[in-house]
Amino acid sequence: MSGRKLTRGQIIGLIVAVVFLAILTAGLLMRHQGRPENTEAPDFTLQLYDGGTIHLADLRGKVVVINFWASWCEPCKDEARDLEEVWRRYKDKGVVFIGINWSDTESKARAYLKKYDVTYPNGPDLGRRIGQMYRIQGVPETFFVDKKGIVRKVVIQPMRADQIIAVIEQLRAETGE
Amino acid sequence: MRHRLYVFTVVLVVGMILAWPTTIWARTPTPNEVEAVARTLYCPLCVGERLDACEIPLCQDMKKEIARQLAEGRTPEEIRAYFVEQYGPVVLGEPPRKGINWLAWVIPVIVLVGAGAYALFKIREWSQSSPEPQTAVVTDDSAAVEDEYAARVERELAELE
Repeated sequence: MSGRKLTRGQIIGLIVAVVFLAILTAGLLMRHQGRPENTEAPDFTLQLYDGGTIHLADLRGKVVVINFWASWCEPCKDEARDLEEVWRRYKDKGVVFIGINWSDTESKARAYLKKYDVTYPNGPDLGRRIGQMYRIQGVPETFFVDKKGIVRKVVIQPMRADQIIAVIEQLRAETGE
Repeated sequence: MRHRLYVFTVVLVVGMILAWPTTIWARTPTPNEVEAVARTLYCPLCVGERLDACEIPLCQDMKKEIARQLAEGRTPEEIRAYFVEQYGPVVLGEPPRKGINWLAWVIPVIVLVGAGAYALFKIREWSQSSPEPQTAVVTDDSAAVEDEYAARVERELAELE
């Protein structure tokens, strides 16, 4: 070892560099954190298009299907009628559907809901905050939350009615219904 | 009688104009006005693409929304605020200057100033510690050579005489 001493300027420079790298690393890690799965569903309050709000935490004890969608998204259109069909089948059986309109314009979103006759609660993801909490990468993405408020399954592709029913039935069965 | 009829007609016409749906006063914005606002916004789905240059369906919808809001008389600032509320600060193309986001603005300045100061310090240090430049000593021997040559010529001439 040469035992060369660092000057005061070098020490300060080193500290600044370490802090800078730490901040950069933390930012990158947060950005690349995965979607919540088998963890508690991030809580949110959604302002609905037809007035009122829906608060996820208030839905404990119910199976919740959270679907992120947009009117410009072609695959979302493929699953729109299937989601509505399953919602109508389960709406009185302790299952709640929530549609979250992501990165869209309100007029187009409303037209979409009307066109596909969507009746379950829907609202815009203002500021894309809910999408950030759920770490979504695009649409459609569907999160299945069990009665305890845990995200049990994440599907990042359009779903058919039978696939949605299969997941719901599994979650309902697990909770003894 | 004629005067009363005249006043009644004027009141009726003015009343009808005022009662007309306000949308007739809405002015259709020009494409340039829409573009001017779009130039200050960014596509929320693309990476660093300005709204005026973006052609994806969402951007098209956003431009229509800009046109609609301009027609309603909203200012560009109000429209920008609306899009920030809808899509987050990503539409501004830069981090908002508040909270921890200030770091994104402050750190590059600190790094630049620090690096500049360090470079100046180093340059000054080098310039002070470097040895005196060695100047080449030019000895002009040509005069001596010339003198020696002249003396030799003189000597040889004397010998000849």
